[in-house]
Amino acid sequence: MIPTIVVFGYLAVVLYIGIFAFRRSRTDRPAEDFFLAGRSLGQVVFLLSLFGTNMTAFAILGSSGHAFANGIVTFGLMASSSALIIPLGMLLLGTRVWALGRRFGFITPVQMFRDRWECRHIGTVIFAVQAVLLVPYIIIGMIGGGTALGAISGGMVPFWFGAALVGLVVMCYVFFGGMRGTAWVNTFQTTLFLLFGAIALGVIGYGMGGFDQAIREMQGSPALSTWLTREKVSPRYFFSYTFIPLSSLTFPHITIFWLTARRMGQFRKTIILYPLCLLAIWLPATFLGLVANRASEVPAIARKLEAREELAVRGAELTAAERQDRRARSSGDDVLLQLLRHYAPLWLAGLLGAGILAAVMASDSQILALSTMFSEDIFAFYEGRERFGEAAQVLTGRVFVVILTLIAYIVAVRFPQPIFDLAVQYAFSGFAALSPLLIAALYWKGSTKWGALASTVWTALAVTGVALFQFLYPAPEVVWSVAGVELLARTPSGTSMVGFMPVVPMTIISAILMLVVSRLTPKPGATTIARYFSR
Amino acid sequence: MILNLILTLTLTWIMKKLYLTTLVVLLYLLHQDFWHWRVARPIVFGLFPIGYFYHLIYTLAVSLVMWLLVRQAWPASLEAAVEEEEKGERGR
Repeated sequence: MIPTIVVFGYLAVVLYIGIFAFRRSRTDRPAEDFFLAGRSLGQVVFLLSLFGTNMTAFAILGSSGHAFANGIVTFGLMASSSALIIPLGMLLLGTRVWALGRRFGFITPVQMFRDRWECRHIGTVIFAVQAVLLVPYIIIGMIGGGTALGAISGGMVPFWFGAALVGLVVMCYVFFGGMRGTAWVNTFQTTLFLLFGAIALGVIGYGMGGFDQAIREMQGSPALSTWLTREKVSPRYFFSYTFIPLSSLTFPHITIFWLTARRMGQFRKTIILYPLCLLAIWLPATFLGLVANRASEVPAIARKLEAREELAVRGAELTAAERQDRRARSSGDDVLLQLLRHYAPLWLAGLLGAGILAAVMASDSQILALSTMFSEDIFAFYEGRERFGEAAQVLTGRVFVVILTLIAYIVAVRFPQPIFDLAVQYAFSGFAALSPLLIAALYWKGSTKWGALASTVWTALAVTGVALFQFLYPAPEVVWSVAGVELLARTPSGTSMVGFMPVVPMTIISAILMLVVSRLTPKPGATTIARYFSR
Repeated sequence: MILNLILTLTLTWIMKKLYLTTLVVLLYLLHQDFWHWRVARPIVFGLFPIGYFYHLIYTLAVSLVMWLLVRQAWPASLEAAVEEEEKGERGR
């Protein structure tokens, strides 16, 4: 009961911050103020909020769940590769996007693409694909919220209610506070999680009788010693994962967030400190996920371990539905919360749970980004602003926030899936495949709107193809092999193409299409190119 | 003499770009540490298997390289262009 009350108190604080931000809003330029916080964010808010935006349910619950299932490989897969790709992208792409946004008044990436490639409806196609790809990411937040509240309360708060409550709180502070409210809440949440990540590590370690003991036991156990190596994934799979962080550069909520910095200098410290923030959050999350394998005294974790063992021993005898059921039961998305409930004192479990919930609630930025894109790229672009005024545009954005939250909630309640899989397979891979668009727009004079369209259509088809393939073929199954080489296979975590994740061919083909189609089609006018590449 | 100066500056610029690019490529390659794949030992500080510890240190190293990149390859011209345009707009 106590942890639940603490978490509810935390949700009230978050709500208050969002409404306080609403009172600070300016009325002279309502759209820029609501969607970009008037391009006025300072250094601390910019760093912590940008980082918090990337730290979603996927990063916290998904990563500890992945480490629980796969061992130490999780940190190298996502954290250390993100530590390189994301700050590097901010230096090479983020600073340019910021400068162009400041010079030409862009609020969304699609506005920039339309201007850069002199196109209208192709921009709308890019908007549509980005919007469809972003929705799963928002659903992750809802699922994470429901899972987290359920686990913190010991099952007292049902999944549907937890997801609804988190969705409602997020919707309220995004609705009222816009980008300023979202950024302030994210800053508060990131601070909370950075603090509590270390505390959680200490408390759980003490409760388990020391982590060194747990690691020694894992080393001595033939069944668990492989968790301390990276044998559970192949080097090709590991390599594939370095493509995934490209998505964090092309996610519209990140690109839009780059535009909120007051000065370009604010990127400097963000670029340098970003890897350290990643370390501070991913180290506790993955390490706790790893040692959870020795926490069989926690009943919920013991049940997961049993389901996993049954899958390993009797997997071949089980039907596809039974295998799916055992996989779902052994999923580790809530192990972090189970560890907290078992080892931390009640009041601390509440505070730590609130910290975790903070990360889970990062879907606010995605909801705001989609609402920004809709009101700028569709409503304003198709003359809504001219006909109804800027105040109506902001209202449209707010109504969109409500509709989107409702849709995401319904999907989250109807189709709860393991967080990690859902995120990686659709949103992350799709946005990674869209990265050639941003790079070409900023660095290649020869890129054209037709090249951009080809990359975008390819991404949409490829994501649909992968989703369809995974729907039609239950895992594990080798679908196509030649001379003993597995060319196409359905694996428990998704799809494998010659051992690589689909994101690799998707991104490479997208880049090739941009290159080839742009070479064959007419370039934008010299004036446009000069505006972008004169300096 | 002017030609010499231009040549020296151009070469320095190319060398700087080359060494920074090499550094980033090297860092990317170092991420693919297949040599630790199937081993857990040594367990550093009794807590971190070597494949884990390597990536913790790697992340710290990335932060250091980012510091270097920000110092050596900061796109100051973009910042200057924005300031110049905004100054011009305020003057009008």
